[in-house]
Amino acid sequence: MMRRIVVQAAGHVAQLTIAAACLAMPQAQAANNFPVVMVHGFLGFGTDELQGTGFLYWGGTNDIAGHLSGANHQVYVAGVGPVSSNWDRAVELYYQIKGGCADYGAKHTAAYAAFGAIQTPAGKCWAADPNNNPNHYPVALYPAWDANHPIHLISHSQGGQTVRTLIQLMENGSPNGNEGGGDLYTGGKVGWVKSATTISTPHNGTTLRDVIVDYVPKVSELAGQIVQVAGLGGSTNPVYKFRLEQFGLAQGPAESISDFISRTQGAPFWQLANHDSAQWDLGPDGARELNSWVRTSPNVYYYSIGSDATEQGSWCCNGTDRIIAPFQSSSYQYARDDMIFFTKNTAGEWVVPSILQRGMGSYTQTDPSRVLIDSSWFANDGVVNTVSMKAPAGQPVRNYNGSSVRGTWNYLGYYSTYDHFDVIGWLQPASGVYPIYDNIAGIIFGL
Amino acid sequence: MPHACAGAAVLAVLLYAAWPAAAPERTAVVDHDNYFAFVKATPVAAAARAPAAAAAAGTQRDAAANNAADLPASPTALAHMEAEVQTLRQQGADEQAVYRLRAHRVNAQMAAQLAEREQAETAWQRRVQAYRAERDLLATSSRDGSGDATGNADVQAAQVRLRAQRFTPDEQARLDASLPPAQPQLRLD
Repeated sequence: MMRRIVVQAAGHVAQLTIAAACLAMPQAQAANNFPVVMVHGFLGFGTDELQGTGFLYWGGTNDIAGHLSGANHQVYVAGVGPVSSNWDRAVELYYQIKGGCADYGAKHTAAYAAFGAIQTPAGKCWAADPNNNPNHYPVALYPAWDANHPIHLISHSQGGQTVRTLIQLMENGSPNGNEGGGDLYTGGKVGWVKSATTISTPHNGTTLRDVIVDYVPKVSELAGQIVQVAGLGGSTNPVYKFRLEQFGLAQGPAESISDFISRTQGAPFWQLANHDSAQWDLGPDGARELNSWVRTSPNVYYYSIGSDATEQGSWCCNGTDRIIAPFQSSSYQYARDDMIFFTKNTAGEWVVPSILQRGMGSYTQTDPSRVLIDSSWFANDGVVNTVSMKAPAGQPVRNYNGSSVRGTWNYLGYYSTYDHFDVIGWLQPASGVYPIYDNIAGIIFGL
Repeated sequence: MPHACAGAAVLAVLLYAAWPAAAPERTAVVDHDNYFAFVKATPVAAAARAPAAAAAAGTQRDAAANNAADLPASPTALAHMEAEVQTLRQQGADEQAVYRLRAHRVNAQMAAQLAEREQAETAWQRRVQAYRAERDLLATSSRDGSGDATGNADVQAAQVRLRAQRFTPDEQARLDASLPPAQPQLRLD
């Protein structure tokens, strides 16, 4: 009898302890715990790529998704086309989350048929049910996704344009009309996305696109440098997926970046006239075209965050890299010394090396038929102009003040001294990056 | 072998003796440490070395930058030259050797301006280090003291005063960039 009383008492104490612990847990205050899907940017990669050193797109040697998961959130990391258009990336993102085979749309594909576009290519399917997967497709991230099971989207760089495009297509269908009945284009998928957060996104494009003269070689060089940063250069042959099956450019399972580019560089996809490509969407003119039909949904909470890793030129005594820019003008911006190495040579007044080719820190554009670029565009994070990260031009925006407004861009501000890759934790200590995502989590799980 | 060494030494002396012909007129400069006697300090350099009260020289800085930009040297050539300078320094070369390399690659005036800028940069770094030491001392004294809210507020006020005493408003902006916060902080300016 005594033993029974002691056991019962111990049980009560345990229940009280659990109840007290639950009350003290931060997620007890959260208004929701919808899953998060993280969407990478231009030349980004998924969790199944660049394996070997544990280097992650979201965190570098840190693990942002793991950090958020550790706080009892469901977090999924998507992998979409690293050089593809936002349309194509949005299609891949939709089917990767929900399950099914990517359908790039009949009219959309017809418009880019001259560049080799294919509507339903092989190699772009995801299984909604892992127990019914005879073709061994990758398993979809969150097949339960619908209006009753919404998600939060957190995106970096071009990923921000991609998630905006996805929301537009889901809610309103294609701007071209009937795309052949694909699930994504039927419209009416309202309430599926609770919030969309963009980090260092070129909402209005980046002038980096204009200061790069030779696009295809530059893509190859940048992709190679990303692999170097990941610690996978040299004799290894890391898996880096270009995911261009929708242009008939399937990559061999062990084909390296340089081999793939060499083999395909003559393909129509890489032509600058092909506007179904990241190179068009990422420039100011392509972004303006995208923004003309991708609007801010009244049903979604939007948040934007910027980054800035340049400084105003100074005769001396600023934090810039003086080897690249020994003489500086206070009219222009220059790369900070701590900016990641492979973007420094295009971030300042001049592209180095070049023959007087202006860099992002001084590039202007006055042709009235194109997007006008003035000095407000000079500050940048090495890849994207800071002014472009706030919101799509002409769409509703406000500074976040602790309360969120749906259907408008809530601009949280920018991280000074943070370059394009600092904000996703590359070459950063955990203390330099996790607070960025803790802050986002504090906002979106409180909605 | 000793003859070869002696020959090389004589050649080096002769070359060095002939070199200053390309440099600006030698001017005695007071109040300089480790500085070339033949480099005359511009008002810009003097301002950058001075304490806060005498350091407001933004327009002069711009003028110097514009003058430098007007000189015929491509950004790429300058960047290559500065990379060479970095290598030279890593190999233990002294400032005379750096000056000679720059004067050879571009011209004497630009080499002198770069030397001035580096002197100013060194002086600025000394001021920043001194400020950081004083600031940290204030924080340490607070931790050793009562550590209550009033004490912390006093220390913070003292640190703000220190910052204002040591740097002009322009310099304080550069100070923020050179001393990034330990935690990421959002800005809305």
